[in-house]
Amino acid sequence: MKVVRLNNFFGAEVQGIDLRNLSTKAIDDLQRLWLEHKVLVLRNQSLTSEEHVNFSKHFGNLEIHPFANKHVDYQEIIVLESGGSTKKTHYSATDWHSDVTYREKPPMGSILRGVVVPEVGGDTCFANAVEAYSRLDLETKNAVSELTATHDWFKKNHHVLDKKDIESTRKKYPLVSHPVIRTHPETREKAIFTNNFFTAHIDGVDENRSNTLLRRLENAIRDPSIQIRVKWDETTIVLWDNRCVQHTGTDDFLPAHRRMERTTILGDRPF
Amino acid sequence: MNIHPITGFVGAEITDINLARTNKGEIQAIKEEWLRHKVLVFRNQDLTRQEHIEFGKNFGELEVHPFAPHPKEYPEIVKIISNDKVQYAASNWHSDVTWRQKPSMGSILRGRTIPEVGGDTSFANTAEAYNRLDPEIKDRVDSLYAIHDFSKTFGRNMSEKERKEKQKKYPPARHPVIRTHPETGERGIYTNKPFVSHIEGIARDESQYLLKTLQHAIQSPSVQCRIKWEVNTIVMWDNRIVQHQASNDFYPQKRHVERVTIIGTKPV
Repeated sequence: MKVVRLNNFFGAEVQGIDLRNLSTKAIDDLQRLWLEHKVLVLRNQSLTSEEHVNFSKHFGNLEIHPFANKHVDYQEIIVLESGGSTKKTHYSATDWHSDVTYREKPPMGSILRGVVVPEVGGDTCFANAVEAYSRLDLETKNAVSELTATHDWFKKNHHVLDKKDIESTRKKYPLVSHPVIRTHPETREKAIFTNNFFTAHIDGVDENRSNTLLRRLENAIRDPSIQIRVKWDETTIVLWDNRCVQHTGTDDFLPAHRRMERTTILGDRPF
Repeated sequence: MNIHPITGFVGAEITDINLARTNKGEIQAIKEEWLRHKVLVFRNQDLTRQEHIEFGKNFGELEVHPFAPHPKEYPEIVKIISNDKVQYAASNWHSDVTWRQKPSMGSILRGRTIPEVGGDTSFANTAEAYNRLDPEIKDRVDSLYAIHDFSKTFGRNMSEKERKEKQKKYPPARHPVIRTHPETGERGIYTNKPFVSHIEGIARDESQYLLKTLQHAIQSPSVQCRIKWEVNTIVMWDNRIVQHQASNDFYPQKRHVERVTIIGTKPV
């Protein structure tokens, strides 16, 4: 197993393994590398959807996503697909976020696989939310350190629901508050845990103050100095740690066809 | 010469060419690809400083930067060094020397000392960033002008006296907020944080709001590409339609890159 770092702060390409056939030691190594590097890129992996699910289960229980398009045969897999003949002419995951933060226990990690990859475009960018936090000015750090924010699925997902289902979905997934700065349960690092997709507002401050602070946190995430950019192909798998990494897709591949499949590993309540 | 696009909106890697020995046909082809892709990347180009300068002159007259350091015998080369004293350089989105009355049309940067990881440069297509603005914001910025001033960045370490002298020589420049590319006709965002002091003729709050909104558009990864450097990688970009930012992520490793800068025309 060879590890090539992608950036000074995070991200690594792991070479010389076959995800279909992993020893217990290799799984331990991957877990350790994942914690250390936050994002792992694995090339030359020809997995079926079933093998993708099986590989993911090494890291925890998998989530059944409440809203996203699911794979016909594997409900643990969500399908992110647009362009080509799909009739989806837009690609919407083009802002920085961590996955499913509107849940009481958001996922600890996600594992994304390239299935149909355009020749050019459709890269995914990752931001190290720990380094972004550490670069905040002291005043902002102090201002946000004890705050919580409300996360809401509605903003991003309501358009996929029938009107009649909105109320029952609200009951099932009520508003949830998470710390603005989250402590990673294993490494104890502190990271920014707000995003434009799901964070409705910061609790207990007025709207102006909430907007100002959220924008400062967003700007810290938007700095290329704490980011990496991953180019896909149809044998690439990327694992990221949602507790300390944010990511965004890019929509520069349209109208070409792009299909990705994701499994999502359940996590703990943020603190 | 082979062309490999890097992302959907910006950048191409050019292979099978030796920049130390180009012919007229190749220079013409590079010019065309440069206009199309806006950022061109060449690998393994072991140029001397003189060859770097000669290559740059194919595209226009080279400037001598009044503030940045240069190697003794090569005033056209800007040395950009990050080390213990300057831990990073150029880590904010910008286009080069926009504080000049006639800012640069393009820059050609060469890697000399490159950290093992980190120090990538990101590039944004400012025309695509402009296309993606809300129509309401487009309307508001379309006919505005911004004031560009070197002293915001290069004046920080100058004495009061020195700054005043330099300001006489390089008075603030007034450029359109949305610039039209003189060759392709594309319209791109032409404001940046290191050099723009304000948008002219509107309230300060409004100016700040619009500048932030424009910067936000530049920051979208969908309009960007990201280039990893190696020693003897050469990247050339079109300052009229591209902004760039170096990553401040490699300290305490050292990074040394060298630039020649091609003089451009007054923005319209």
